[in-house]
Amino acid sequence: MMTFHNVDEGQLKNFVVHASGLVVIMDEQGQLGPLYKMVLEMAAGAEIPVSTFVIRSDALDEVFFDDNPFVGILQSQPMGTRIAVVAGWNTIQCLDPLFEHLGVTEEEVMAIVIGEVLHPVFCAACYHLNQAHSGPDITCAACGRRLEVSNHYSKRHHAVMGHIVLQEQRKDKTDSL
Amino acid sequence: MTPSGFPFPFTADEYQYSNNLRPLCPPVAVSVTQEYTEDVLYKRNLLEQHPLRCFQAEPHTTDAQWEVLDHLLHELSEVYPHWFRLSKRDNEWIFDNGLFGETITFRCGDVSSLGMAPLDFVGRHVQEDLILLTQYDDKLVLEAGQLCFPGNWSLRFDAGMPFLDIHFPVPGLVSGGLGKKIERFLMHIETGKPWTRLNWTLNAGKRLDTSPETFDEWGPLRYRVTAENVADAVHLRVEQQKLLRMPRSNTLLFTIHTYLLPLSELVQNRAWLYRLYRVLNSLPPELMDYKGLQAYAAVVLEYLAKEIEVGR
Repeated sequence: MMTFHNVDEGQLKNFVVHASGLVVIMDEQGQLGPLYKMVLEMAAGAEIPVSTFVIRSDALDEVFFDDNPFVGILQSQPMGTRIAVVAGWNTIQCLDPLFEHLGVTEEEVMAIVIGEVLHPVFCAACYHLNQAHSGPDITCAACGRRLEVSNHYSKRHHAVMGHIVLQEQRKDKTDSL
Repeated sequence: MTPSGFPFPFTADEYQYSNNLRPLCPPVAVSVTQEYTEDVLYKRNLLEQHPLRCFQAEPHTTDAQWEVLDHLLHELSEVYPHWFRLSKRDNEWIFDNGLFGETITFRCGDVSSLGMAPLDFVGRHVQEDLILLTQYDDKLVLEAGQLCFPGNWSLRFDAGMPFLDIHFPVPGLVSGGLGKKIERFLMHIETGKPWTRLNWTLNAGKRLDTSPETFDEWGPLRYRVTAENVADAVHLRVEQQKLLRMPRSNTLLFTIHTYLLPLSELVQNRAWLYRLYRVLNSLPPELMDYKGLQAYAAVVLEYLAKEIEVGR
C-alpha cells in the first residue's frame, strides 16, 4: 500500500488513470474532505468504472468477515483494478492486513491519510516500541531517555524513529525561545 | 601495508548536491590500511558486545552472503597476498589472515562450519562495513548488513527498508527526485563495472562508531568544541563507498570504508584547507542541521579562517 499524507494532484491522477477499474474506500473522515470527490472526477474523466464503499471507523472489525460483501467485491475485481483509500490513519492501518490477506499488491493500493498520522516510536537506544504520541518528543518507557519523534518510518517496525535528545540540545531550544 | 591515503572528498570550492558516483578503479571492494588491526579489533569487539545493532540478515540472503564471502576472500588473497591466503582442499577452504595470525578452515556453503553468517564472518576480516541490497523489479532493499561504524544511522531500524525509505531523512534527496534517479542508476550497475563515491561530515571526537544507539556518548562532544581544542577534537569524516554487482545473486554489495582526519593535520595541506573552508561556508542550513554541525561549525570556520590568514 502506497500511503500518502499530502498527496499531490499529479500523483493521484497517475494512479487513477492507469487503472482499468477503481475501488474507492472511505470512512467518515474521508467523506468530509474534497479528496474522494477529486478521485471520482478523475476516474469519470478517464471513463474508468468505479465502485465506492463507505466503512465506519467504529466497525472496522466487520470488514474482516469473509461473508462481508465488501470482501467479496474486492476478491472479484478483474486484473488491473486499483484501490484508493481516503480515510483516517486508524482505518488505513486496519485495512492493510486485509489487503495483504487478499493478495493485493503494494502498487495496487493508494491510501490517502486524512487527519493526523500517529505511529509508535522506536527508541534509537534500546529499541523499545513506545506508544504513538502526538508531541515532538517523548520519554522512552523502557530506558527513560528523551526521544525526538522523527518522521522516518519503518514498515517492518510499524514505527517512526525516536532519536536521543541530549541535555545540551534541550538547553539550546530553551535558549532560543 | 599501504599508507592510509586519506580520500579528500571535495572537488569544487562550494558545496554541490549531486550524484557523485564515478567508476571504481582499480575495481577492488576493500582496502587494507595502516589502521587495519585497530579498526578490525574495534569491529569485532562491537560485534561481540552489540550483535543485533551491528548485524542483520534475512534468511533468504544466505546464498548472496556466501557469494560476497567468496568474492572478498579471493580479493584479499589476490590484492594483499603477503597478508592473506586462500587455499582449497576438496570442499574445504582454508583462509589465512596473516595480520592476526589466524587460520580458519570451513566448508563453503556450510554455515555451521563457520559458526556464524558468511557476511558476519568476512566482515570480521575487513575494515569496511558491508551492506547487501537485494534487487527487485522496481527497487533495492537492504536485506543484510554488518555495520559497526555508521554515520548516525541504525541498521536495526533500517533493515528490510527500500533504498528510498532509508534515505528519507536526507534533506531534499527523496522529495527532490534525486533519490529515485540514484536508485535507478544503482539498479543498472553491471558485474565487473563497480562504482564509488565519497560521503563526508565532521566528527567532534575521534570515533568511528557514531551510531544513533550511542548518541548520548558521542553527541555531547559537539558542545565541547572550543577554540583551544578544535584542531585536535574535530575530524573530517569521509566514507569511501563502493558498489559492486554480485553476478550469481544479482545482489549489490555496498562497502563503506570510514576515514577520520583531525583538522590539525588537514590544515597542513593548504589546498584542502581552502576548500573545506569554502564548502563549509556554502553548506545549506538544512544540511548543516542534518550533519549535526550547528553546535560547533562557527568555531571550526573561525579556526580555518585563522589558519588561512597564518599562511598568507
